[in-house]
Amino acid sequence: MKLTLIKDILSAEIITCKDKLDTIVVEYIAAADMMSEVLAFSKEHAAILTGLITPQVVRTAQMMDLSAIIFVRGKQPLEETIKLAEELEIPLLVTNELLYTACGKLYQAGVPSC
Amino acid sequence: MDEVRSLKILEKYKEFFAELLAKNIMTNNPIVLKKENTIREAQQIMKLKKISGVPIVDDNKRLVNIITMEDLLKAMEMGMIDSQISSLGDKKIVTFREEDDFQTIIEFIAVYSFGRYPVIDDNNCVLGIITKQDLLFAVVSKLSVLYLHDERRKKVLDSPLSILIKNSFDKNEPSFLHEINNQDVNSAGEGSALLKTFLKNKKFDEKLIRKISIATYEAEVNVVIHGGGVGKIIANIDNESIVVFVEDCGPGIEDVEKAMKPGFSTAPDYIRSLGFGAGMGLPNIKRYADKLVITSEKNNGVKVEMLFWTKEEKSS
Repeated sequence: MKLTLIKDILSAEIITCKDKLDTIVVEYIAAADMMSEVLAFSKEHAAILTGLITPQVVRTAQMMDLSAIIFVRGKQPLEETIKLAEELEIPLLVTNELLYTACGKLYQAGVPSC
Repeated sequence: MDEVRSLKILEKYKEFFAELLAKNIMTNNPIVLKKENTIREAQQIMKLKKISGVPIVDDNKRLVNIITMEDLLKAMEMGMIDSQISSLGDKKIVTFREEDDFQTIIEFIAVYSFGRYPVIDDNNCVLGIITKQDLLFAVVSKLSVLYLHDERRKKVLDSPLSILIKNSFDKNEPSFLHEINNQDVNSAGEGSALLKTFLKNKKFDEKLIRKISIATYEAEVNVVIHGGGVGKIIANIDNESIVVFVEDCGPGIEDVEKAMKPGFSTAPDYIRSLGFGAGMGLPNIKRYADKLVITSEKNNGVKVEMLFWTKEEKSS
């Protein structure tokens, strides 16, 4: 599913990589607050739904070649997080949805799990 | 005060000393006296044998009392040193049985702090005696075995040869080297990112690079969270494989087997608020690496060696 469609489903705000958003296709969704879980169970080209706003989520995305990071519960990422994401060209979005409802909506829309 | 503290230190090694029993620690056939002996005789024996207490037994060698330095001093004070030992009152005696183990003995000694503990059998007969000196001697003997064990491990850890691969290569001429010097969990991962870029430039397969990056990243974060934040990432590329070493000089892993269990974590709580400490780090590394060796010695750091085959025909 295209990242722009996901953005619409979740009514998400774009923080980084505004310009390249519509080139990105998300193949899976991963949802976790613990990065080691993501590293264990996620797949490349997945978008991650998370409440963790530290730069580590960007590092994890870099290591795993994730497509995008979507922060839930309206959480704004830290400045260092945004800076690192810009440097590595990883899209960051924020949605007001809870983790549960964000997962539910995307699952219903047919995005596969990792 | 100090004695209690030193006994607590021994507590830490309880497991190692589990097979040490009273019968292995005690002095056999200790000096004993009868209640018909005088206090002066006791004093002379204690002076001669340089001991500070003597069990008192009956004709069948059964324990009836014990005489200590304290008794001697009291007797001297009251001018009763020529009285028979029977004139002394009964006192509390803590005894052990032959099969009592190290832990039990330690627990009692910590509470009672008597100078000596007779070891008795079912009939209350005195078989031996345990003094703090006996305990110390037993512990030291055991420790000398432990020392040998650690010396051997030290030789392995200090070796420049990789444990993993048969042909030696020089760790001083690696393909990739990154010094980790970072106590901030938030910015950990820089080394792994650099390694990833390095491997990308060498045009290795994307999937392979991802496996290596994730495993190295988990190892690097471990160095920062658990290993004191100071360490190295070294990578060596040869015809068939890429070997990555991640080592630190931190406190080491106490029980590597336990540490490998998914979900087991020794991370402090604040680490969980940073998204780590799920206990998946080492299991993740194991999953992604084709071969993995973790060596660790308490207070001497951790060395993680990971091998990744670069050709697909190879299987672990």
